[in-house]
Amino acid sequence: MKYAILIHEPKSDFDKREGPEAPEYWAGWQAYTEAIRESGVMTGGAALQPPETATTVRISDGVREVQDGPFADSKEQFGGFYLIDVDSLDEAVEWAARCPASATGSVEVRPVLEMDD
Amino acid sequence: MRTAYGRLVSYLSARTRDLAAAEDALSEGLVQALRAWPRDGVPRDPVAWLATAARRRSTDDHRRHERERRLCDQFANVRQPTAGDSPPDERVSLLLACAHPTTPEDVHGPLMLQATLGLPVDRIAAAYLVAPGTLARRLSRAKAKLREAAVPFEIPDVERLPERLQPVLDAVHTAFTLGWEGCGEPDSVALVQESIWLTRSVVERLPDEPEPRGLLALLLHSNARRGARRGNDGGFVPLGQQDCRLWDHEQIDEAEGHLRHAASLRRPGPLQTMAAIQSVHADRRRTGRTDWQAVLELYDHAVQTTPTVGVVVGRAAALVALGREPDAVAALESLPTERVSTHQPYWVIRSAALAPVDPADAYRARQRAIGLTTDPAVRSFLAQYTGSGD
Repeated sequence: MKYAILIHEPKSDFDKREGPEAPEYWAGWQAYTEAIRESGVMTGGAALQPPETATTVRISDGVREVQDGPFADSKEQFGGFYLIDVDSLDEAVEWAARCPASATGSVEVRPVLEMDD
Repeated sequence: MRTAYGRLVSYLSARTRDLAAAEDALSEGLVQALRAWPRDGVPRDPVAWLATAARRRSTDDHRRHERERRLCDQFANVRQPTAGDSPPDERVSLLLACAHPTTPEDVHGPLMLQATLGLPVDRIAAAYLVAPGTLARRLSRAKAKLREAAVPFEIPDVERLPERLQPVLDAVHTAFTLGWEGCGEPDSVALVQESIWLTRSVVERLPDEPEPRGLLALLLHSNARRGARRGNDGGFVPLGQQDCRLWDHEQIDEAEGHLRHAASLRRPGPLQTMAAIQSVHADRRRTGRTDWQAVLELYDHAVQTTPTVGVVVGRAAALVALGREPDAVAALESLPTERVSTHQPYWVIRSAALAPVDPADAYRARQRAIGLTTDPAVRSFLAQYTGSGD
């Protein structure tokens, strides 16, 4: 079964990407990514640049808006995702618990909607 | 209330064999209590009051469904407790039913925690790291299965007792380990204490069964080290580096007592062996050193009877401590890859075993261990060795 592991990080985590805490921050992600890949369950994923680099487009009341920044100003922002293929939701939840962001932000597990060709 | 809850559920379900109905009836009783007690004062024997209310409640709720009617009849036959005559303590038979072989293993522990302690599903789900919705479905399926199979709520005869007891002990052991790993959080501490309390119930009810005593000794030994496994900075402190003065010596002494009693019954078992290993570690408080040779011999024995991944990895750790790294690597490599790919301790010990011979491979194994760790304190501890990411 295919799941997406969606990573939501607080601003303090995005701030760690550069500066004195960067090596420790990245080491955690590197270890997690290697473990998930070596275990043979990872099918895809991406890490994203920080939320301030985002551009959001929406049409509201027929008027198009283009805005700098993420779609919503919330405490935690989307930071990246992993796609995994595992036997059960239990396994997927276990992978979410191992994710470094589970200690600082939140990690969401969502089943992938399978499309028929 | 904790003791009372399990007692009441076991009392109400003992004859009806219907856990779900007993829990429903009891929660109705509790609702009544919340209304009546502030008004009329707390009754002299609250447990008996609740039992009566729950029993009456299940009789009142009559004729809605066929199943419920049948249950009402069964509840009506339950002997009515009077003040001072608390319901019989059928906790152990309830535990045996919860861990009945007709239900899948992964539901045994959650069912026990729900039925005997009344822990809410979301807390059990957090401890077992499963989605609450999934767990709720598993629990109701298991209860339906127990009802359909008419699993008796009783203690089986001597010949069948050990095989029926095993899943109970396994489930309690797992609950303890989960609580232990989620160190620090109030829910985990509660889970640890509840597991010890459940094991104690089994030991009190079946004092001459050696394995429950083995488990109790094992849990007490681990729990005795609670105060020593976190440093002042909140960092993880592995067993070998713990200050034994911070151990709870009373719990260690109690553990040793149970282990001696178990040994005197002359029926060895895997839990007694595991407890004996912890006993060797605890002896450091007296001798100032760990007798790794003794640990290894106990693991040699354990590997022959119960060659689980955990036991093989534990034995490899003893080999590393004795400077026999190549033997440790060989032992670890005897395990099939699919059984170790997500087993965090395997990668920790593999890294230690490879360190003197193949530092690059040791580094990779440690990275893998870090990636598989859920406890942030353990993650930081492991990262210190790798020099964080270079």
